[in-house]
Amino acid sequence: MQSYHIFSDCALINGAIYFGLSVLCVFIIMAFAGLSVVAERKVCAYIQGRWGPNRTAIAVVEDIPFVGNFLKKNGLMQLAADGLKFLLKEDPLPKHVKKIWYMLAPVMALAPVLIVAGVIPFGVYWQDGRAYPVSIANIDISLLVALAVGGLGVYGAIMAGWSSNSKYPYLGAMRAAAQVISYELAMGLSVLPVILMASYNGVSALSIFEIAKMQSGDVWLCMLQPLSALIFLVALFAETNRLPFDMAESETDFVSGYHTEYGSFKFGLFFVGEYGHVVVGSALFIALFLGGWDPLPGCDWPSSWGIVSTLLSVATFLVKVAFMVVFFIWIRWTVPRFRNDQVMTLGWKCLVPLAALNFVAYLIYTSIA
Amino acid sequence: MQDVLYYVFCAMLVGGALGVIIIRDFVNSAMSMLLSMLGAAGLMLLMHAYFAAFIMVSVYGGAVMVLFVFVVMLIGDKLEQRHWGKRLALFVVWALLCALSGVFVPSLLDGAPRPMPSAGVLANINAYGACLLTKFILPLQVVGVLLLAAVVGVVAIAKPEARGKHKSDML
Repeated sequence: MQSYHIFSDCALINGAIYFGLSVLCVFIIMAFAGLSVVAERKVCAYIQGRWGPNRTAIAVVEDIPFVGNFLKKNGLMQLAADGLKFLLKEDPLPKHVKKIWYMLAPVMALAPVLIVAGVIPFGVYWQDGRAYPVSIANIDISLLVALAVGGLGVYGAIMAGWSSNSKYPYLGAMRAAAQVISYELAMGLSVLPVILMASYNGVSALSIFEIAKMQSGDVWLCMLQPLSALIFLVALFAETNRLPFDMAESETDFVSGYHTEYGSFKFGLFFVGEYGHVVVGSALFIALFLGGWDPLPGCDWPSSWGIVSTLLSVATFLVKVAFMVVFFIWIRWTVPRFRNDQVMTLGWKCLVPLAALNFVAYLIYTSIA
Repeated sequence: MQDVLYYVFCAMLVGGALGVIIIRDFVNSAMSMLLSMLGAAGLMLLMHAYFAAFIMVSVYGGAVMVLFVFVVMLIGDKLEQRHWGKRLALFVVWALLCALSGVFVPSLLDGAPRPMPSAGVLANINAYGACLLTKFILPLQVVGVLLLAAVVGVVAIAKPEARGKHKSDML
C-alpha cells in the first residue's frame, strides 16, 4: 500500500511539502467554514425576506471600486468583523469549571474535523495510467478513518458540558452523547451496502477514493442506493448537530447548550468546528453518494486532459461542497427543531431498522442476481 | 520521528491506563481510558495495523462515550469512598498482576531492547472477513456470548435503582 505521493527523494523535503499541503488543506476547510457562516446569515435572510448583513465595511477596502461594494453587499467584511471579535474579546475563565477539560473541549471539537479533511479526495490526478486522489493521505481504509475520527468530535461537546459544571451545558452534553450513539449506528449501517457494492467491483472497499472513482463516468450511488443516501444524510445532520437535530445546543430549552459557559475565542472554535464538520461531512457525502468530482452522472473529466482535468475535478468538487453547504443551511431554516424524544424515536425506531433492512435487502438482491 | 511517536503513544497508553485505576474522579478516569485507547491505536498505526487501529478508535472511542454516560448517570461526580477493605483488595490485585506478568512475560524483567513487533499486513477486508468467519469463528462466538452476559449484567446492576418506584417518579 503506497499511502502517499513521493515528491522528492529527500525525506525532509517530502515532509516539508506534506506539511505545506496539510496547512493548505486546513486553510481551505477554514475558508469554507468562514464562508458558510456568511452564507448562513445571507441564506437565512433571503429565506426570511431580509437582506442580511450588508453594511459592515472596512474604511479603505470599501473605497475600492466594484470590489469594495461587492464585499460590503455580500457581508464578506462582516466575516472579518465577526472573526476579529472572537479574537479580541476578553477570554473569560469561569471560577467553577474544571480547567483542563474546559480548555481542551474546544480543541477536541475542531481537531477531528481537520484530521478527517486529510483523507477526503478533493479531486483526481493521473500518473502512469493510474488514478490517484488529490488528498493529503491516500489510505485504503479512509472511510473507516472518516467515520472513526469524525465520531470523536462529540467528545468536544461532552467535555464542554461536563467541565462547565453547570446545569444547561450538562444536559446539552448528555443529549449530544445520546444522539451521537444512536445516529452513528444508523450511519455505519447505511454505508454497508455501498461498501459491499464496492467490494463486488473488486476495489478496495473501505477507501473513499475508490468508492468515488467507481461512480466516475457511471451513475451516482445516490441513484443506486437512494435509501442508504437518505439515511446517511439524515445521520450526517444529526452528527453535525445541525438543526433540526441541534439537541445539544437547543437554545430554546438550554440557553446555548453545551457551550453556554464559553466566550470569545473558545466559543469561536466550537463555532468553526461545527461549520468545519458541515463542510467535511458534505465532502464525505459527495464523495460517497454524489459522484465525487464528476460534473454530471455518466460524464467525467477525461484523463487525457491531464492537469486541466485535475484542476477541473477539484473545482467541481468544491462547487458541489458549496451547494451541499447551502443545502444544509436551507434545511436549517426550513424545518423546525425536533423534540428530544422525537430525535430518539427517529433514530432507533426508524433509521436503524431501515438501514439494517436496506442492508439485508441488498444482500438478498446480490445473492439472487 | 518514529521513535518519538512511539514514546508519545506509549506514554498515552500507560499514562491513560494508570489514570483509569489511580484517579479517584470517575469522569477523569473514563477520559483516561479514552487516552489509553488512542495511545493503543497509535501504536497499532506504527505497527502498520491500520485497520485494527481505526477499528480501535471507532469501537472503543464510542464505547468510552457510552461508559461516560453510564458513569455520569449512575454515579455522578461523587468521589469513591475510601475503605480499608478496598485498599487490601487493591494491594492483592497489584501483587497478583505483578506475579502474572512475571510468569507470562519473563523476558520483561531483563529490560533488554527488542525490535518493534510487526502485525502482518492485511491483504484486504474480504480476506479479513473470511478469516474471521472461518478460522476464528469460535472466538467470535465466545466474545458474542461474553458481550451478551455483560449487557445482561449492566441491566441487572442498573435496574434495582428504579424498581419499586412509581413510573411517574422517573424521568
